[in-house]
Amino acid sequence: MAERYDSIIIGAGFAGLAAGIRLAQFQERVLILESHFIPGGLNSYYFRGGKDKLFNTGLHTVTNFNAKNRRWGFGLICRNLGIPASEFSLVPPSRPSLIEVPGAGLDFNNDLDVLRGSIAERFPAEVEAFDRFCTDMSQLEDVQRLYGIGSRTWLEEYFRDPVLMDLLELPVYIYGGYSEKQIDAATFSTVFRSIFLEGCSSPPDIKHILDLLIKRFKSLGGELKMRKRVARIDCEGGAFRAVELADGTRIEADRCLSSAGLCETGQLAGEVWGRTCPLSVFETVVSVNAPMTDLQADYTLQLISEQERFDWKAPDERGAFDHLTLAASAFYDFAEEPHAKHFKIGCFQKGELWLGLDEETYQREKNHLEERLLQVLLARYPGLRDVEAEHCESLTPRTVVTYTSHLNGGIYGGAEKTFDGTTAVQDLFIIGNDQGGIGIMGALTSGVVVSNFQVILKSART
Amino acid sequence: MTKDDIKQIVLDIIAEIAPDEDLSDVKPEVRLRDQLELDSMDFLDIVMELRKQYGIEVPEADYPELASLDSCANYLEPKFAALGTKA
Repeated sequence: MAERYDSIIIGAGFAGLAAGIRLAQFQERVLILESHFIPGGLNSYYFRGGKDKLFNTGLHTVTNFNAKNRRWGFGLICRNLGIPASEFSLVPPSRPSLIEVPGAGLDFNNDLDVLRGSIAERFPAEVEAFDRFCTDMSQLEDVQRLYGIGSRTWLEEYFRDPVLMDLLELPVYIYGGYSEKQIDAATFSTVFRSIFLEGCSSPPDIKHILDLLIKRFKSLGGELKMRKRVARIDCEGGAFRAVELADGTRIEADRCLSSAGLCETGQLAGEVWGRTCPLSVFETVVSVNAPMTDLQADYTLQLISEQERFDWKAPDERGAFDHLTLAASAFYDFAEEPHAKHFKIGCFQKGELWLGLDEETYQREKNHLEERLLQVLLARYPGLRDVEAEHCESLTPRTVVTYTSHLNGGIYGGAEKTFDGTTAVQDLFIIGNDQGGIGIMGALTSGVVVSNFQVILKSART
Repeated sequence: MTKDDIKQIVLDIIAEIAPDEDLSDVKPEVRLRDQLELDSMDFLDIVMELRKQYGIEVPEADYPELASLDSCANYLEPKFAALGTKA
């Protein structure tokens, strides 16, 4: 007889673990299946050269830091997962961050007045509009309308200066630009609020939060199985029945929550859903051991567009870049100075251009882009010039495919979202990126919200 | 267990679920929803905590009985009493 669960969750990333914890509070048998041997999906970690040399993938900037209200942001997560905020060990950045387009830049940190002051200096005529924008953002009246319009259309209702609008859009798109050209204004407002109004933070490392979530999930009786790849989703009469693993095992459940992506989940179920997004990432990390005082970083994050006019898309050519993300991961208020300091630089690439290359071309192209990014990194963090790098390596769209199974190495999920988490198949739900969950906090929220509204409240009513 | 004990138990659970709510002046006869910011998820969590901490089951049809502290006490009193006799 096949095993049977109340709920099966595909993927032990932030969305899957959050959904697992939430469901395990109400259900007897909850199973999370992860294809990789390390949890986290896109926001994961690995070791290089020893157990104490841990590297995080992704930016590991956690937003909504100051949102302590239990219905939103960090507060909502802590309350729903039953984990006290302090256990996440999040700390704010110790330096401001920079947003830059050709000829103009803005500083920001967790104090909104820094961004406001920066705008007042460079765009004095727009300060009043910015205040109105921020006020409206914290009490949105018509969210449904915002889902239907692009972010630029919405910004134009407040601002006049296209350069300022470029500067305001850039960080939000870098954080969650799931579709080329324009993302919807509702998602834009969520991400803007999460970064600027509620502030950024960092855990000591990603493993810390993943371990915390797994411990909580298991304490509630949840089961986590690693290295179990779902090969097929079995549906019958338009409803979910079971998953079939790559090794042939069949596992039945009353429902399934998938963080594999909308297109990808559709493929597993033999359906055609969603639309892939070509946006993937190339990221180079440099690890150094010098003391912080020698490194002289002015900014924790630097978000840069080299385009004259902001136009969100991955370059058509492999190795070209328009938008850059730089991060000095050690420059947060950690109680103890991290032993190794990681500096990262990432740019956006069309995932498909990196897939299916022969090994020689792949390595050559990888080395070439890595060298160019390192030059930018050294120019932007000059303190790095005089210290020796302990380790340096790059992640490409191919790496993303390997560890997340997302088509084209998509880092924001597909270009189409199912905002309520439902699919055309009954009892099969989408969580994570393709439900609109952006970043770590977005993924956690997605797992919680879909579990609450599509599963827990519905079971209570039947 | 007295009705006042039960009211305190419910208040303690609410304090865990909603640590940001001020519970110093909750009126027992007024609907909880009318004086605190509680939504349907919060009520589910209250039901879940009653089950987890005390082994008390509240079926869906009885949720309206948890509307105020007074109604909670009236509804839960026989359930807590039944637990006592079992022990």
